[in-house]
Amino acid sequence: MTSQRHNLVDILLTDLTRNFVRVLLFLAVMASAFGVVLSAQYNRQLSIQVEALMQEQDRLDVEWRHLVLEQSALTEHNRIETLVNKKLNMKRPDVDSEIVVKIE
Amino acid sequence: MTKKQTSLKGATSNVLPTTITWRFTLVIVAIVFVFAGIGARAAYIQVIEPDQLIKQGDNRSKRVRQAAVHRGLIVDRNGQELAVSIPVQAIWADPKVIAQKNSLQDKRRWEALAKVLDRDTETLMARVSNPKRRFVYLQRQVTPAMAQYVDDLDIPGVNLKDESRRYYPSGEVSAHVIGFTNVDDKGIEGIEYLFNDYLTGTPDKRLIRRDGRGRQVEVIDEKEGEKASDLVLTIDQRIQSLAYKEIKKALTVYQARSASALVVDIETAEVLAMVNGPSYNPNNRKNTGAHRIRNRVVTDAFEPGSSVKPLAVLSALEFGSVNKDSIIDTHPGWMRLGGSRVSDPRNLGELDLRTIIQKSSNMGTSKLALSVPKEFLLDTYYNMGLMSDTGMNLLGESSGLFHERSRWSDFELATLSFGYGISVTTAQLARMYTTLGNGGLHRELSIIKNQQVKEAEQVFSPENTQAVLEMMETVTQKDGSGRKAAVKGYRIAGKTGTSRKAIAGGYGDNYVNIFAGIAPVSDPQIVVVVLINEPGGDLYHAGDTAAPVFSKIMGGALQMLNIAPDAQEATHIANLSLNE
Repeated sequence: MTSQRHNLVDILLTDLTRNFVRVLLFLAVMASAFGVVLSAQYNRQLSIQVEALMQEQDRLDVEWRHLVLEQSALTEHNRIETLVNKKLNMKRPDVDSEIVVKIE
Repeated sequence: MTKKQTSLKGATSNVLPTTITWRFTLVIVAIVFVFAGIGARAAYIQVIEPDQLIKQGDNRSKRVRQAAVHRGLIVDRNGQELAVSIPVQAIWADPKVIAQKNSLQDKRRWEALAKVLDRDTETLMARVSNPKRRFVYLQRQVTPAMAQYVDDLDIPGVNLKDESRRYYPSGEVSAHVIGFTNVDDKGIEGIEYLFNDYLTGTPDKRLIRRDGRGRQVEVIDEKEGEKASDLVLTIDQRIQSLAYKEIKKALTVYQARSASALVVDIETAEVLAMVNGPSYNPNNRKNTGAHRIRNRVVTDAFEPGSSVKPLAVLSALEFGSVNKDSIIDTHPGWMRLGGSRVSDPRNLGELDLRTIIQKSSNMGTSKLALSVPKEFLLDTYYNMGLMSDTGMNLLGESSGLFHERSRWSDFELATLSFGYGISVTTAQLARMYTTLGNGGLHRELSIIKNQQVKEAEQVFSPENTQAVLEMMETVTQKDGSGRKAAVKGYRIAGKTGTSRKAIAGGYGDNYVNIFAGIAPVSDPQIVVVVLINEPGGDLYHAGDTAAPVFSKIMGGALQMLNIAPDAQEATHIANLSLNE
């Protein structure tokens, strides 16, 4: 039995290349594990963003409702009519001042 | 330590180490027990009884979040909002927490709260002093500014809760049509009540997992709620406002108990305006009497009086007992039917059909009514929808009062022809005029846009209805009873109706004034019905009260809808030729 000096690195490398498929599987497992961690993290970040956007949407909806109410209160027909009467001195035209344009 | 080490040293030099078997076994056994114990515990927690811990974990991280849901809008045909829900907040207290945290001690904060709520401090504090209760409303539907203030007060046990409040920008103008909701945002009157389910949505629910900072990190389950739908009415808010303004004015000018107006588009039988006076403010209903809330256009039935007289003429024309140019002899101005007397104010002599309508002759319509078989006459009333509901299906809608009987005396038939012995609502009358204006094509009235409607039914011939329409035009012309209803530039067909109100045992001194009309006669577009109930002033004839109001509403509506004037003397017409 001859004692031969072995290089540890060589042994490791040969071993690894001999079981190439297993090594690949191992690497794949690790990669997918990290993938899971990463995707879970991204998923959480996105969930947080979605929630923030939903809150923003609710806030905008509330604002929109207030604006709608304000607009319709300000444009109430009787109010407009009184305003144009008083401020702009406008009135509805009577029949005499109306001209009907007929397009032939 | 050192002493022990030295003694050990001594021992090693003399005695060979041997394994003391029982000790070794004991250690092995102990270690095996420890690991087996840990393994068993782990298995127990993980496999046999995992629920408890899962539950604990979920309690800390699992939450249900709800999106706010608001009642749908109600808009008019042009998209103008008539009812809008706004998120507000409710202030509520948890007396148990208040007792635990002793927050009643800090009286200054409670005084500030009572002040902003406009309440007495003592009563407010008494309300939350019973520690057995867990929920007490302090104030509902507060404004965001007030909610912010209460939030800043930061009293332990006093919290805010989201809710929503309904606002009606058009206020009293459309109050009767739309109705209102209660404090829980549930419709309890008018269209709000009828379409409550349609307008109400259910919130979206999300089952989520939150992290330590309360952020949502995982959506476990999502349940989409039902979206609240918006409701589009056929009301045209411009005409509605105009009509309400005129009705309100009429109430004071004629000192009437109530007044109503209805504007209907003839082509589609859609209601363009429906107003009642006196009205109420749906945004603040404090001290509002129930009589103000009633939508009188559909709930209150009146004897229509002369306004249904065109029906007797139409009936006779349809049956063929007379033709357009027939002359009816009403001499001597009265007649006896059974034991009762039918009369005109004075002897009108020989009248053609046109004049019967223009002069509103009771004798004339009675003779016409009696010239056709009674079934045929009753069918005319039935086909006009005077004995059935109008199809709008509004809250509290009445289908009038009519006594079905197998035997009719001539007198009863005669009174029917001039509008007594039958009670109809303003809406039913408007439906009858819509049918007249639509060439005998009978439709159900509608107030909700795009609602499924029944097929129109041809109940009278277009020639006869047009003939009656042209006869009715004389009413608004010189010498007609409704000349004040005329609108310059347009040909208006209409009819006045002044009827006494029935009281127990006969007819009283109160009147109902009606003017119903159609314009323009050459191409009927809209129907307006004005009803003035119990005018209290000197004027109690429809021609003096309802007719001028009709003229204002009709004139304004025609202008707003851009309907071209059709009268001969009408205005200035400029011809524009596109291909020069």
